[in-house]
Amino acid sequence: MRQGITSRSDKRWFPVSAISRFVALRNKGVAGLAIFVGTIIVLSISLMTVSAPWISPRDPSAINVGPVLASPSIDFPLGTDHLGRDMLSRVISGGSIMLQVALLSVPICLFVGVPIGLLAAYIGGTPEKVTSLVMDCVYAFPGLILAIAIAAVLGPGVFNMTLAIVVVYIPSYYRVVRSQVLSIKELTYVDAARAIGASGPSIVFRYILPSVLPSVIAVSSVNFADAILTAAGLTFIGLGLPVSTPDWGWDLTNGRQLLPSGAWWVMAFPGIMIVLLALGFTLVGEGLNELLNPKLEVQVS
Amino acid sequence: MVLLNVNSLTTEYRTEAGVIRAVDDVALSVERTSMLGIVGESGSGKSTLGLSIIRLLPPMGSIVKGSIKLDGKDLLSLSEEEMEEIRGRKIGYIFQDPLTSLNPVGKIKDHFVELITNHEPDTPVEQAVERTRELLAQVGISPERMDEYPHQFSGGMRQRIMIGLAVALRPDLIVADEPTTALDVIVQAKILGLLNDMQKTYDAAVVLITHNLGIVLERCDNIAVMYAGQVVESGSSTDIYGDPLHPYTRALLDTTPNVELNEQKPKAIPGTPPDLLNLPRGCRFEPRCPVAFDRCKSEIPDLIRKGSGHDVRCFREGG
Repeated sequence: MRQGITSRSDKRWFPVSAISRFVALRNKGVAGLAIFVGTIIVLSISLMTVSAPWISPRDPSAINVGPVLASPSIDFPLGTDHLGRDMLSRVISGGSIMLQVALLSVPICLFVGVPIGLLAAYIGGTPEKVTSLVMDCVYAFPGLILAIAIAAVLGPGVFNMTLAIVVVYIPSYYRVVRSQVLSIKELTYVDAARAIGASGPSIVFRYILPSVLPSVIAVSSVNFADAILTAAGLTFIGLGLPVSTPDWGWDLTNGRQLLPSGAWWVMAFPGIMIVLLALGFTLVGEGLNELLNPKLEVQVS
Repeated sequence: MVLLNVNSLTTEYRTEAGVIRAVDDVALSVERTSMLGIVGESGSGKSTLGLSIIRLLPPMGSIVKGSIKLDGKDLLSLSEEEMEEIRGRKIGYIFQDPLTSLNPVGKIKDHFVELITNHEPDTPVEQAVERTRELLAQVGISPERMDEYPHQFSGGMRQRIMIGLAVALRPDLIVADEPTTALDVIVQAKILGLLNDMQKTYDAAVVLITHNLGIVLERCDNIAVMYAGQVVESGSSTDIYGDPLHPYTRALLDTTPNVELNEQKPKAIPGTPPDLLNLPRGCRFEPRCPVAFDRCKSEIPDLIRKGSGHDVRCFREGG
C-alpha cells in the first residue's frame, strides 16, 4: 500500500486526486472498506445536520404540529412525540450539539495531550513521572462517570460538555504518544540526528513527531466516536442542554418514558442515529488504525 | 599536524549494579587526513570512546576526566549549543546500523537539506538540493532517488547515504563506529573503499572503530588496540602487524585467517573479556594471557613507549 502512495505521482488537481484516491480505498481490503463506509456515514450525517434548517419539514422544537404520539405515517414519516413534535425534523437536526461537542473536544484533546506526551517522554525523569501519575489518575476513572461528574459540577452547555470530554480523553492521547516516543527516542536515527547537529526542538518535531502521528490520527478518530457517545450519555441524563434544544440524547430520555405506552418510534430513531454516527467514526478509526499501525507495516530491507 | 588529541579520557556509566568505567584513561591522537583504527572486542569501550568524542553518551554515561581537543579546542569545555555546531560540521559520525540511522519518515533529500540549512542557515534550499545531488552522486546513489524514503534503499545503500551525510559539510574528522558490521562482506569492502575515497576527496581524518583487525590493518595508518576500556597497544599499522608487542594484539592477529600460511588455522582467544564491574586486580588481560607471570596478577602495567609512536601496556615489554 505504501508503494501505491509514493511511486505513483498524481498530477491532477488536488481535490480530484484526493477523491479518486478515497474511492480507491474500497479496494484496499477490509480496512480500506471500513474507512470508506465510515467516512460516507459520517459525511452524510454531518451534511444532514448542517442543512437541517433548510431540509427539515417542520420546526423541530414547535409543539402540537401534529397529533400527540402519532405513529409513523405519510404526514409524519417518523411519528410524533408526546408534545406533538415532528420526530423527522427532530432526528434531522438533533445531531448538531453532539457534532459540535465532538468537533470542539477532539482538537483540544489533540493539542493538549499530544505535546504533553511528546515532551514528557522526550525529557524523561521527574517531569515524566509526575505527568504520567496525573494522567493515570484521570485514566483510572471510568470515562463516562468522570464526564458526568464534571458536567454536573459545571452545569449544562456545549462548552461545559466539551470540557468534560476533554478532561476524560486527554490521557488516552498522552499514553499513546508517550509510549511511542519512549521507544522512538532510543532508535539510532534520533542519535544520528543529534550527531549531525540537530537541536532538541528539531529532533522532537521533525524526527519524533512524524512517526507518532499515525497512531494519533487513529486515536483521534476513535475519540470522535467516544465523544459522540459521551455527549449522548450526558444529554440522556439531562446534564447536557436546555430542554428546548432538539437532541438525540434528550429524545432518548423522552422515548424511554413513552416506551411503555407503545410509542417505540420516539426512542428508536434518535437511538439509531447515535449508533450510526458512532459506528461511522469507529469504522474510520479502526480502519485508519489498521492502515497506519507501524506494527503491521512491512519493512523492506 | 595533530587534529584530534584525546588525553586521559575516562568515561563511566552509572548502572544499578555499580559504576562501570567503560573508557579508562585513554590517550589518542589523530593526524590530519590520516586514518586511525580502534580495534577491540565487544565491551572494550571502543564505541563509548567514539560517542565520548562527539559527546553523545546515553544519559547514564558521563565523561569524568580528561580532555578531547579538536584543532586545539577542548570539546569538553563547550556548551551543548556549541557542541551542536561541531557535530555534523566539524565531526561527521557514522553509526553501526544503517537500517535504523535514517529518519523513516524523511525523504533522503530532507536529511541533507536539513543538515546543510541547520549549519548554514543562509544557504538557499535550491543550493542545498544541488549539493545533495552532488553528494549522492559521489557516494554512488543515483541523485534521482533523493525524493525516496529510507525504507526503499538496501542496507549498503543506506550506509552510503550516511557517509554522504557525514561528509556533507566537509568535516575535519569522521568517526565511523563499526560502519560495516551490519553489512555482508562484499558490501563491507565497497563501503570501506567509499570511506577511503571520501576521506581523500574531503581531506578528512577518520577514526574507524571496528572489531575486525583485518579491516584496520588494510586501511588505517595507525591502530589502537583496546581491551576492557584501556588502550593496550597503539602504533602504526606496520608496527602492529610486523611487530605486535602485546599478547592480546598477537592473539588478535592469530584470529585473523592468513592466506600465506595456509597450514595455520585461525586461533580463538580462550576465555572472555573481564566483567567491567569486577576487574582483575592486576593486568586486565592476565586471566587470558598465555605469557602472564606473578607480577601480572597484582599490578597494572603502564602504557610505555617502545620505538617511535609504538606504545604497549605489558610487563613483558618493560611496562
